[in-house]
Amino acid sequence: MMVERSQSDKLSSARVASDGAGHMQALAFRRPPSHCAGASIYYVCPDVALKSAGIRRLYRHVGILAGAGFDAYILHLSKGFRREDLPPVPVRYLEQNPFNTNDIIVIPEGCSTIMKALKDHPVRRFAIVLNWDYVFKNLLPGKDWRTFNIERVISVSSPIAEMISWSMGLPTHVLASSIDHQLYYFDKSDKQPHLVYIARKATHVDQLKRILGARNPVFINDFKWIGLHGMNEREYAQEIRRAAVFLNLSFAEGYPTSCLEAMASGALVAGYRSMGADALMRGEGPEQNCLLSPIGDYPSLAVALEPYLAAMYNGDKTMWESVISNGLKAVSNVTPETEAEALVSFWHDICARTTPERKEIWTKA
Amino acid sequence: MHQLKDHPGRRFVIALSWCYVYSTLPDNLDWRHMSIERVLTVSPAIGEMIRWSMGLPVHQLSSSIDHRLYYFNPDEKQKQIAFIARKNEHTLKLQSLLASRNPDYVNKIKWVGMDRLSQQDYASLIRQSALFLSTSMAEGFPTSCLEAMAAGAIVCGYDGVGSRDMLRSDGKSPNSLIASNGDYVALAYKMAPLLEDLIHDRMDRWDPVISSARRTADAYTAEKEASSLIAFWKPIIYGQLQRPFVGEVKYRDISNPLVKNGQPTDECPLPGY
Repeated sequence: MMVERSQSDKLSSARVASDGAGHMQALAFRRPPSHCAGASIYYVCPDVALKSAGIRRLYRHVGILAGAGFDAYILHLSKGFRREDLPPVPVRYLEQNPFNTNDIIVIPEGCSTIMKALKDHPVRRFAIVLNWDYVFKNLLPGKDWRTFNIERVISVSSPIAEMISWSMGLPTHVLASSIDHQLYYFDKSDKQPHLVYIARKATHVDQLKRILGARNPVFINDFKWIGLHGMNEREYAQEIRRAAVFLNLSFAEGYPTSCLEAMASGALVAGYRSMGADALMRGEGPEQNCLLSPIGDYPSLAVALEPYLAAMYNGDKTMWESVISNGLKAVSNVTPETEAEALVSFWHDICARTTPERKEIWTKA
Repeated sequence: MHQLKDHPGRRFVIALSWCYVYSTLPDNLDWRHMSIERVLTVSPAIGEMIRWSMGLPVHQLSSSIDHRLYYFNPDEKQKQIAFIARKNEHTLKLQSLLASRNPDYVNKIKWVGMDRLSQQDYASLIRQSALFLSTSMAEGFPTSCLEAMAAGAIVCGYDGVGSRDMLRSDGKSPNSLIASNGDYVALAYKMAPLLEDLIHDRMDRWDPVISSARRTADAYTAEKEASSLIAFWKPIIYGQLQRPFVGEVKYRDISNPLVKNGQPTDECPLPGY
């Protein structure tokens, strides 16, 4: 069933989104090309309450696009679901099949079932990759996004885009990302001897604590270790601003939004290396902005972290100022303005193309 | 350990896998609290971890592989990749990624997950395989990799932390293809040229890696293992290596760290040793 949308529906959608992202009003956007008016953009979003940077990003993209005059929606699966904890954006539902010919559906990398279900619809299909580890998790050998008629791929990380390009040969587009500098900022007077980590991603935190505790119990007893769980973003940001250390113990981090937020808050980021973050996070050299160890190698992480904890204990972190300051520098350009400009520019170009590029399914010899 | 901590005997630990050490200990207790006197290991990585964290004396012993079972016979080799089924959580994702690059990588090469084989059958499969895949992220001592190296199968995978001193994929004489732990994408990039050569019968280009790997494995003989074991136990049994630590567990003093060239050093031994 195709649903016809009224003009007022579109206008109110845009207004809602614009209200939800105040900084957008200051930007002078190019309006969508006139022939874009017939096509809508749908970002598929799983119906989950999980607080994740990926879902925030999907909502943010739609908010930015709607605010810039695009006919853009979050596409949830079941009627009535929407994330009330995120800024309001226009929402539609897959079960209502709201698509018109030439509409564009943007499908997250983990939703291969939806890709498969929509593969023959008369719409254009893009994938958005937020986490590299989900891409091949749900795909059987011999099947990939080309078999689901995915036309092109959006990512915010160059190494992830490179992986898609290397394996599937699909056109990829690397867009800028952002963090909220009004929530994540460095205030030295806020800092406490806290080590924080996202509880659901910290499989190894007990082992890390025990190995550091065996080295010296003050690392456990004199500092507060806080697993962050079930907070709203304001509360979460407050904990991050207070923290001296942010531990990233995720085995497969996509684009490392949480690490960048911690850097912006002047916390030392320490954790496992992530393929999606290679361009931004430096574990060594003059631009060092964090402490990195290979995935799962918490003994090496403990060894790397110990001098910083000892410095914290002794009240003299002078030797670490350059690392913290490199972290602040690394995220200074990761702004909502840069993200919005890249996103609008990308969609402007896409809408300006009247026919999608179709590539033959091919294999590199 | 806890049960025996007050028995009148001497207590040693033999550490075979690094990942079990701190995942099985309770908070705020370690082997020193259980009156463990010293630690035996065959893995330098495990030795370093114990020394660094608990400060216990560590004895590095040699290990061995059975060279009568694991030897190189080029005539036996097939277009085959072997892996231990229970240790390869990333194999499916790696296969999907590689197949997406080129379906021949999974269609023209046999991928064999080994499970519950006899030692003879296992060794025979390893000897037939051109590649041995090891994507375990937590390996203690990489016996299976050494056996594969001795049998002329190119080891591809992660170092699993415990193999980082032995597996080299860079430098003058690489003996394997190793990616950073957990990064199966980087592993796929490294493996693709090798798989191309395997499919197109160009494996002679990999002879230097195979030779280097065989040299690495050659060093692990039963004789060396036996002599290192005897050398360890003799002074223990004949009383030359006494129990070094009695009393309260002490920790490294971090309030006044040693500093050398502006960097903290780890040179201060724990009190009591």
